[in-house]
Amino acid sequence: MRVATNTQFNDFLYNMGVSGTKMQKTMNQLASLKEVSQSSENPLLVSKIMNLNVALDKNKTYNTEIKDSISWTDTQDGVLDTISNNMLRIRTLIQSSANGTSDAGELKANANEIRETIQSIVDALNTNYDGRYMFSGQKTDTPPFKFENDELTYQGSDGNLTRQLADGVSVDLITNGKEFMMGEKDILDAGGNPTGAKEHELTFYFRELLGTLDETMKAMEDIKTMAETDPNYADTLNKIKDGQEKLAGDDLKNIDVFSENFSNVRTKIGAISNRLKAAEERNNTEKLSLKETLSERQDVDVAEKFMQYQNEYLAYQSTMAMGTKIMQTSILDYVR
Amino acid sequence: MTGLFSTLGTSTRGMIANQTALQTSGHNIANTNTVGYSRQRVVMNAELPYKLAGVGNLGMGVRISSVDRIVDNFIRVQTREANSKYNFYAEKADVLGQLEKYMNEPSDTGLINQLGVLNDSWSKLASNPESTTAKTLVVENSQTFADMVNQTMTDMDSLKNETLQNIEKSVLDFNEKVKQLQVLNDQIFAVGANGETPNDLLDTRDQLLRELSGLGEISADFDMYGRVESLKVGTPGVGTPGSEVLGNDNQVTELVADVTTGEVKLDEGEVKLDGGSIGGLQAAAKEIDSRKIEFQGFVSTVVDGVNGLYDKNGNGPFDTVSGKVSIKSTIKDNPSTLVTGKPDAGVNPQPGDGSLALEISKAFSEKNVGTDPDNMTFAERYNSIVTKNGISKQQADNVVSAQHTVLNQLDVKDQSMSGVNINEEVSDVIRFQQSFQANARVIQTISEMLDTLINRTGV
Repeated sequence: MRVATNTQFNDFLYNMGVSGTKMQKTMNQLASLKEVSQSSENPLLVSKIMNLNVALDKNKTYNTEIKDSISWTDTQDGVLDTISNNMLRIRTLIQSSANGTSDAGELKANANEIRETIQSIVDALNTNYDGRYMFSGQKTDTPPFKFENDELTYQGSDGNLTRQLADGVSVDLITNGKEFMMGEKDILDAGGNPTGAKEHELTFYFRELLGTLDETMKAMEDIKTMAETDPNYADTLNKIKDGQEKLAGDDLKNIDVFSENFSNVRTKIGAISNRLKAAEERNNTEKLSLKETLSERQDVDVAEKFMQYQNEYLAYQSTMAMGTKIMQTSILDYVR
Repeated sequence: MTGLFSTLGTSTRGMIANQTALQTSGHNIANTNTVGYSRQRVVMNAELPYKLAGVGNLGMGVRISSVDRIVDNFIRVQTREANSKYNFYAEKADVLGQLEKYMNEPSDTGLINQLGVLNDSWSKLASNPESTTAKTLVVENSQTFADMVNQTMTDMDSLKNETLQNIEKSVLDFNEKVKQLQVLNDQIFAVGANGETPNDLLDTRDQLLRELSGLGEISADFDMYGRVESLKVGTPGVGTPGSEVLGNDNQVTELVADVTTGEVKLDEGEVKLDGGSIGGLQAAAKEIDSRKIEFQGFVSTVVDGVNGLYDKNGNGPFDTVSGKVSIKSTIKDNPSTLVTGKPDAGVNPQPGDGSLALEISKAFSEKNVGTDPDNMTFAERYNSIVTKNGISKQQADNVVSAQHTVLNQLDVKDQSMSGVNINEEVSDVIRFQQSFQANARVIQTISEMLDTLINRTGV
């Protein structure tokens, strides 16, 4: 084939352009350490990469969520641990008060300590975590429990807090303080008939307990100054006896029921905590596998890419060396 | 028997012929780098012989019959077609490449990332519904999202406008070149009518046709003088007069570009272009249009999706005023008014109720949210727009590189036929010089013979 002089030059420029472009691309890949930088280089791969990035973003969001929830449940668990000790202390005090050898002074001291302990239970339940009350349902800006005049009241709401752990997976953090109050019963009037209003079992229990203690204590005080012949003597003695029996019987039995209820809620929270930890595990596994997949698709193999770069650089140099030699040679070098 | 003077004439003709050939070689060498130049050859024939009775024909030397331009017209036609196709896709790929840059994916700062940030801030708000910081974060990130969306929309619009303007400019360029061809036709006729071949004018004609083929696909017919008898561009649309821009006794009909639609018209009738940069620009403008419609669909899905979940009446945080997305000023000025929980039977939600925010954050992973369900999440929708454009650009890129090779090969073929080779020309120069010198030597010999006859014979 006949080769025109300009063909030589044009071909040289074309070849130099081709090998230069190739080298440039490899250089950019090496500099960014990414296989593709534009959708058009490999649209389907880039689409996959974008989806993976979305999944990774979500994974990160869920991870924060899970970690937050775990420390939330951990704090709740700590609170309930204190409370179970408190409940145990109340039980001991009831037991001690029920003991026939306790006198009025001891009973008074016990009643006071029980009040203090209930107050510290309330304080624990009112724990504020990250600016929020942990057991107030969704009414997170109000302290949920109040203990005044031997009346324990719950002023939070019913709901729990929902947290999302993964796509389509959510968990309810137990924040409904009503769980601790157990069921509701009718408030009775003086005649023993329901008034229509209701109160919580725990509220009723604490009030009754403290009432019994106070009455027994008062009876013990009274009897000290009473002569055996007093017409009320036998009655007062019976009061003391009844009070002590009630303390040793129903009250001691019921405090166990309420303690157990606190433990039950704690177990539920523990189960949620376990679920959260399992979710964290899954979340981390997912993150690893997502990152691995992303890296497989997106990242360059530096060693391989660098070898490729070396090859392309060699081709570029050869193009220059050969091209310039060919272009410089002409018949004029030989004509004299 | 011939006379000595007759031999003198033969040698003179030889000298003149070789000198002319040398002149042509010089012309070739001088035009080595002229774009579109085709090498020329002096065609020499033996002069009509002298009939010598009883002997036969006696050669009378050389005669220049013509100066030929060496061209393969078939390759030129093929080159024009390949050039049309190459420019079509090169222009399309160029515009789509700009669109791809505006979409800015894959990147750490693109829209998909911002969707993730928005999702994250709604989900943080769901967990911290009491926090004004979380609300401000949602509002600010929504604002950033709106800004990015508006920017992309503006970019798409200005790219479309720029493309339409380029169509208009290219059409003007096309018309200008057709007018040059019209003038050239007259010049070619003036030379051709004298029985001469207008080699260099024909080169200019071919070069003009090649440039025209880069703007739109053309077909040209030539007459006996080498004039362009008829030049047609593209294919005429249904019910339109035709697509002849030059013809009918060298008359030019100008193309007109419609700046709003990008259509090219001839005598009020549409001309469809499937080649050349004008055609490529038109194709790109169409692609921009469909990407923009899809993008608007994506934006309204996000906006309506979030707004619809936020409030059943659609009174959500986003506002859309004449295609621009913004944040409702009441919410923007006072982020704490952002509602996070679902009001239950008219009762205001509790401060710790993040159920509404949670629902909105869930919407980012759900398919079929919003008014236009097609089984895709927000991110997947945008992803599909980017991918569509990517595939289109990749396809155009592939055709460009394939067509570039084809064009290159055709150019090499064309050059191997018509291109000047300096080595060849220089050896021709030597050849003609030697021939010239030999003819001169014959004259010298004849001259010596005449000297013998005139000065040394007889007396």
